[in-house]
Amino acid sequence: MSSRQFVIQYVPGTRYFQRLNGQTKIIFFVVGLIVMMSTFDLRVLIPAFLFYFIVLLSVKPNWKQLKGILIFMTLMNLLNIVLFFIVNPRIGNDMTQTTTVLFQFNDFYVFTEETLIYFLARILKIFGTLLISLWLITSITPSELASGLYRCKVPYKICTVVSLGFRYMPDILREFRMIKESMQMRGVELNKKKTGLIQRIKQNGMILVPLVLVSFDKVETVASAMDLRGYGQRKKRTYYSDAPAASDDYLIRGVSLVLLIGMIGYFVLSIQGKVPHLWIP
Amino acid sequence: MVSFQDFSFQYKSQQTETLKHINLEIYEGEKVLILGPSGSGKSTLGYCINGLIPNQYPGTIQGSCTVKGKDIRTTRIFDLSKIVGSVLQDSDAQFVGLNVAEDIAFALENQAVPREEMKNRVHEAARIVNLTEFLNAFPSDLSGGQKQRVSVAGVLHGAIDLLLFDEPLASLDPHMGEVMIELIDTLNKAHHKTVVMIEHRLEDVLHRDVDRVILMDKGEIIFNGTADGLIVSGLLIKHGIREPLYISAIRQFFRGLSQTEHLTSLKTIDLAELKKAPLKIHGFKPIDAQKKPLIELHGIKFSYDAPLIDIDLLTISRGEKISIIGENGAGKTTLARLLTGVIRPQEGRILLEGQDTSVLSIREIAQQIGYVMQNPNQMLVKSFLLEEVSVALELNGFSKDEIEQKAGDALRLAGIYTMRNWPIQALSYGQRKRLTIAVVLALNPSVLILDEPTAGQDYAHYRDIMSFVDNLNRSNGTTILFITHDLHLALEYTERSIVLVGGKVVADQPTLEVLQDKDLLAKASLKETSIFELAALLEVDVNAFVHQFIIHEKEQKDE
Repeated sequence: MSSRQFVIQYVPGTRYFQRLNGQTKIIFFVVGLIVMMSTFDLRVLIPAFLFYFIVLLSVKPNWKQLKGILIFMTLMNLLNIVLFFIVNPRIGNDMTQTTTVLFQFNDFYVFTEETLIYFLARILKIFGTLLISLWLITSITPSELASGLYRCKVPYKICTVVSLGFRYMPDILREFRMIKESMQMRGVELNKKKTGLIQRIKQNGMILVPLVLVSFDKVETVASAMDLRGYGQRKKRTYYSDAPAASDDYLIRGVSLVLLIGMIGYFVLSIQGKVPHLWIP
Repeated sequence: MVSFQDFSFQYKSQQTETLKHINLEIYEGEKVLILGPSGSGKSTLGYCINGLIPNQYPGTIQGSCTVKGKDIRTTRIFDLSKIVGSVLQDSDAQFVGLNVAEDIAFALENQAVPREEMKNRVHEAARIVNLTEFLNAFPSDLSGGQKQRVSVAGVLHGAIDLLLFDEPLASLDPHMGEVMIELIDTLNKAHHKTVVMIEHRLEDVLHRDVDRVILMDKGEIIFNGTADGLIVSGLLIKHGIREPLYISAIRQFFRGLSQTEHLTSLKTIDLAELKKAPLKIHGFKPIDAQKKPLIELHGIKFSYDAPLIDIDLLTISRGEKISIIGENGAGKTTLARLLTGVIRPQEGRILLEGQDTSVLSIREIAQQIGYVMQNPNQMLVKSFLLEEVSVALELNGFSKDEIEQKAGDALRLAGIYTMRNWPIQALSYGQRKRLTIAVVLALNPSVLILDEPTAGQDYAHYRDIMSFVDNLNRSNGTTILFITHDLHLALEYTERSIVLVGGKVVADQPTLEVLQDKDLLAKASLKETSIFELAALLEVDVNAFVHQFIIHEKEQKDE
């Protein structure tokens, strides 16, 4: 019952961008990150942003679950940008070496077109990265992630750590809940309005002690159970959840490859100085 | 298949030997039960067979132990895992896959079996344990019995010769326990696997025949022979194992056991012979006391993130002893959480001494209703006993003197006052259980809810805890609620039972009546205990017979 309440998908989704196999999803995700992170050029960022936005929309995510993280990211970004502006209002101009003043507060604080575009690019980059990450989280099951990583030549011990983490997370949350309830019955007040911050941190610390002890017991059993089924015996391993690549997988991998080559080309041009670091319309 | 010769083992962290001079042979195709109280070394013996000793738990080995000719000292755990398939006690922790199919496949994945072949073999294993429809299910959707079966499927692949079960019944209700025992029997008879079971619930294991029983205590083998021989020997009680109930009853009512064979099932007991003997049963008068209601539930509905609860009316009076029974997932624990206020009903009211609890905080309710969780480790947060008991008192704002007084009283009641300065780490599981009861008692609640108080404990500890709680009820008038699926416990210690099925109260009657209602038991997936069967077969007054049996058992315990 508890496994369905997480943002993380334990049940494979049915939409196009959820049906791909683990390896394809990881490739698509990594290329997306590269596109979003490697440039400040709005001519690249705007189409890419729209593209990944459509991808995310196409899997019809549960916005209610994502609301918290979206609000948090928006606030952090706005704060981030305000801080940037306070520290260096000419940050955009430093990149383009040109200045188009739109509005002047005083000698130091000027509002320039270049900085405005720089900030716009910055927001697009961060939200674009967020979109791709949200798509991955709402589309990949932990099993696909583990087998996909293994296909991408990640050592299988690391893949196991990833999938075991997801496997036991609901269990540990349940333990946490039970310990918390037992402490509340003994008089620990976890209500924000009734107790101060320091007191609350102290009392949460008290819950951690049994949680760690109970979890250690579990870890020992998990390790035994894995050893007893021959884990770590060979250099290679196969994955039950490793679905063979279908034609859609090759299509998306192709798209990713084209994007990657495009970005490399763009990168080469920018090294040669043929495209500016910050494009001004 | 397995051979121990003058074998002794001492864990690295222990001062004394856990296994002492063990001589034991287990033959191919045999089905062997290793019986013993907690701390008898029976699990350690199992670890030697599956290779966790010395691979995972280092220590000193003397003598020799071989599994299919391989010396355990020089064999890697991986090589042993191809001969021995182990099913551990904790069905949650050993479930390493994200769903059923992946968990069954785990061993095959480690052997790098190609995916297509793996699929077929997983389906085959799932078919044997009857889980084909559950291949895509998640551990959180499965019952304890199903998880246990997944673990069995996970070790069935390939040329496994021996299956080792470490307390397979520990977390199962009686019905699931029967299914498990039947499955183990099929694996032994139809699939020709040698089976070693480690358990202390003898009567449940004997639901299907075993070839041999080995009784262990204090690291030594006390008995090695047939189940009949063991029952006749009278060694069981002496070493803290519960006899099958019908055997105890026959001993009691007929002055001993004259039959010496075919004792493992009530069906093969010669009752004709017994019926000839005069049977003395005293009359039985049910107690009927009018009591003041303490807790009232009115139209309670709850359904979110937990089994559904739907209760029209339920009243609990001061000083009562009540069992809340039902199969796993019937909502027993959810009901307890509602009573303690950690979750609140979506509809309806819970009254505590006439006051609506919706206005009370968890802490305020806890001063009246104490809840002892199943796993004591989830409740213990401090390093020393006295500290642990004092936590709740400190948080409730008592003065230093009061804390000392009340904590001392609670520890004395629990019979662990002399250990008050001990570190909690040094306590055994049973002692921890006692400590958690002391923790709850410190606030002097008028109701004590115990969630599966005897789960994972052998008979000696079971009696210990239960008579302690029973005394508490008698001397302090504490109302006791047991959450359990052990029907004999319900019968021995409670007058009234509330039966839950799918979150609804399907019966609220005297325990004696509930346990005789076969339709009701079937509905709740519960199982009649053999004492009732025996009474019916003897054609005697069931109420009087059972009542007298219980009184006698309790008297024996007090001696």
